[in-house]
Amino acid sequence: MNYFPEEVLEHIFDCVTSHKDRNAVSSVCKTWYKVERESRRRVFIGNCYAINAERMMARFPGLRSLVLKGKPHFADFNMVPPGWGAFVDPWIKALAKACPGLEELRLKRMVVSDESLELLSTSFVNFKSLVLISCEGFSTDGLAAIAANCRHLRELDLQENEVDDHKGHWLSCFSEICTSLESLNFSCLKGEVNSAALVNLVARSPNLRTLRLNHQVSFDTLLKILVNAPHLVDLGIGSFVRDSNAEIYRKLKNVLLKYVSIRSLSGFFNVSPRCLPAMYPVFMNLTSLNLSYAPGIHGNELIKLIRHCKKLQRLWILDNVGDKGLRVVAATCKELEELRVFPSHLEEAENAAVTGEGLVAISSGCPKLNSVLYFCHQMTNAALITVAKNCPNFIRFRLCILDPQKPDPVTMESLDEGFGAIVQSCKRLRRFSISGLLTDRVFLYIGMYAEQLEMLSIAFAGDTDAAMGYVLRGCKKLKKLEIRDCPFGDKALLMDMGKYETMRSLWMSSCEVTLGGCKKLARHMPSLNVEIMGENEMDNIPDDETQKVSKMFLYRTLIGPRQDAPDFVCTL
Amino acid sequence: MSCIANSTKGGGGLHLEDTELRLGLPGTKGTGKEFLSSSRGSKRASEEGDSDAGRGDDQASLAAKAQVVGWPPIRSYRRNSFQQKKAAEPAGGIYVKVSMDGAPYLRKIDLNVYNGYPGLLKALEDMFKFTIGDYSEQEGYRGSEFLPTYEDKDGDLMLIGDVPWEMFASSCRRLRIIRASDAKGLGCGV
Repeated sequence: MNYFPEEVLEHIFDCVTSHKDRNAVSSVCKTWYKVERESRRRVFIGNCYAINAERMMARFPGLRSLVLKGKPHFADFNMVPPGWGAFVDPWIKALAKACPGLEELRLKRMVVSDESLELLSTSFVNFKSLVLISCEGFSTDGLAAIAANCRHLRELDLQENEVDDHKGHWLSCFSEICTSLESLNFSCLKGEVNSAALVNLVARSPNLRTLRLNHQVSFDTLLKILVNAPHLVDLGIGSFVRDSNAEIYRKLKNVLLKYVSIRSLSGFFNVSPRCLPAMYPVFMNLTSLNLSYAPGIHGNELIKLIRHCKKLQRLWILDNVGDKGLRVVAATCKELEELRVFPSHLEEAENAAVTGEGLVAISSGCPKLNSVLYFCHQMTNAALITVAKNCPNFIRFRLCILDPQKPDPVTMESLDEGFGAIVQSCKRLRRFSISGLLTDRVFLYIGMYAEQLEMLSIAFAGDTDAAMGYVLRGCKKLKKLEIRDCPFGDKALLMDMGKYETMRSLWMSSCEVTLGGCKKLARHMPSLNVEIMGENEMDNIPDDETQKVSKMFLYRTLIGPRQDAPDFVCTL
Repeated sequence: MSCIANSTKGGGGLHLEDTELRLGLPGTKGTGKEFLSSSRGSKRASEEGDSDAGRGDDQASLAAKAQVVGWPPIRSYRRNSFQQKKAAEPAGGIYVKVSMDGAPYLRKIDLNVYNGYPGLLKALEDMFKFTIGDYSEQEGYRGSEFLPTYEDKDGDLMLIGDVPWEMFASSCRRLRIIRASDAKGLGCGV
């Protein structure tokens, strides 16, 4: 191996693309480490506080593409008070100085300011792709800067961000000479965009393949856009109203006849279902369909639509599809790999929209199913056991029974056996979320069988500390563990302190862990940041070591305690 | 199982017990231990002494459950978009006057009843026994003697159909069906 010239090594490493593999490659020997780090173009940082920009760039001087993740996952559910952290600004400042060749930036759960976006837009001449997922802190002014200054922009993808919409002209800021756009997603914006500017932008972007509009874009504008973009592969429709007009309907049909390439549809925020039949030819070719923001499509129209989707691989839908609708999915979508069923109402608990039966139907009808997110009001062990038998290929299985601690409604037992069947059957399971009434037993099963498990989310489950111990000891590949409202205390926390160095992070909230326990852990494990926080910004950190900690978030890090923690966060 | 948000706040002394979020059945106090141990093989509802601690059937317990922070685990973005949809359907109606040129008296309709323009226009057609022409963004309505218009909150007379429905519903103060021949340049191709 030592006799290979480095150029050859580099050439070979070009074929090694996954982060895991490249990380493995870099630890073989010094030469490989050197060649790998110099040739690495893409870096993934799962926790922005595990390392800092300067050290990252010192190791990877050739960086072109960076993925950064910030806040803990439960921040998505309002469990982390504002101001917690995950500011992208220091990263962008550092990159602007030392990495002018940066081309791609993908951020998840980070705080992004308009100033950061402006700096980003002017610091990287070749900047091509910005993806922001579940971020906050910026407005359409920042987007205007990106549009105006990134002359070679290929991708601007905004997914489920909280954006301060100044209803301005950000879209009009795209330069006339910018013709490189391949992907534009502004579906999460609340304000209007200038229709003419939008139509014009699409018309001068011959490479545009992905376009996701927000609900303010009218149907008429949509038609104009479609006429100009016949090669779209991924379309997010804004408004779909106005159906009493036969002429419009005919126009839509004609336009869509040319649309042989659309494979993915989403949006449909305002829907006039009578126009949907015009789209049936498009539905026949779809591999991905997201109707989870389209409560206006339901009942028979929804079912009719689904019957056309024979090639669907991914389906995101609301629970008003019902078990009946899921049976139609099972009968129609034989290529289905991923299903997500979201709740359409948060309050009315007894409106049983989907139940275990729907999931069972899908599991028996869709042999390629490997990823499920399912919100329902009740689930039985029998259903879960059947699902487990039908689908041994699950990689991701997330079941949320809306009523915490709800038992099997038929037997009134806990759901340990049902979830246990899933882990036992699905040897490749990497992500698991469990709910309903659960005892220590389910954790025993998880520890025993979930050998590939990387991420586990637990709420309102378990009886004793032993439960958490089963998981920590048994799941060798565990990276992220998030626990809320479970009776796990210091004994569980301190059972295997070294384990946390092998994981990215641990979240525990409303458990039995005390300040003293957290302090002890922090003392023993200097390579971890053990942060505790109050319920909200006003809280003081407890002084009394026997007091329970309301939220604890710990993570491994190479750079010690962070300097930007707000008052309500204390690193022990 | 003592799964309650008894996790105390620090020395702040805010005494929020009355309002604290609790995760046992509503009406239960203390730990959920009795709650869990009683659930093995027996119906839960019979165990609780308090009046409104049933198995999720009555409004109070539903409301209490709905208040658990961060539950169900749905991204705030998605949760907010539900609330917007709910907010868009206020309990009271949006009643506006409708006048038609030549008709002796006005009518009133509730804009909330209609999900969009098609429903509204059809209802107007039925109510006043006339037909509305075909709409296009450039030319407005063609093919009818009458035009559907509305007065917005600035007092301007606007053609119905140009803006998204929610925007129209929130800015419309009254409807006017006017003779096309009276409208110059408003958008009529007769």
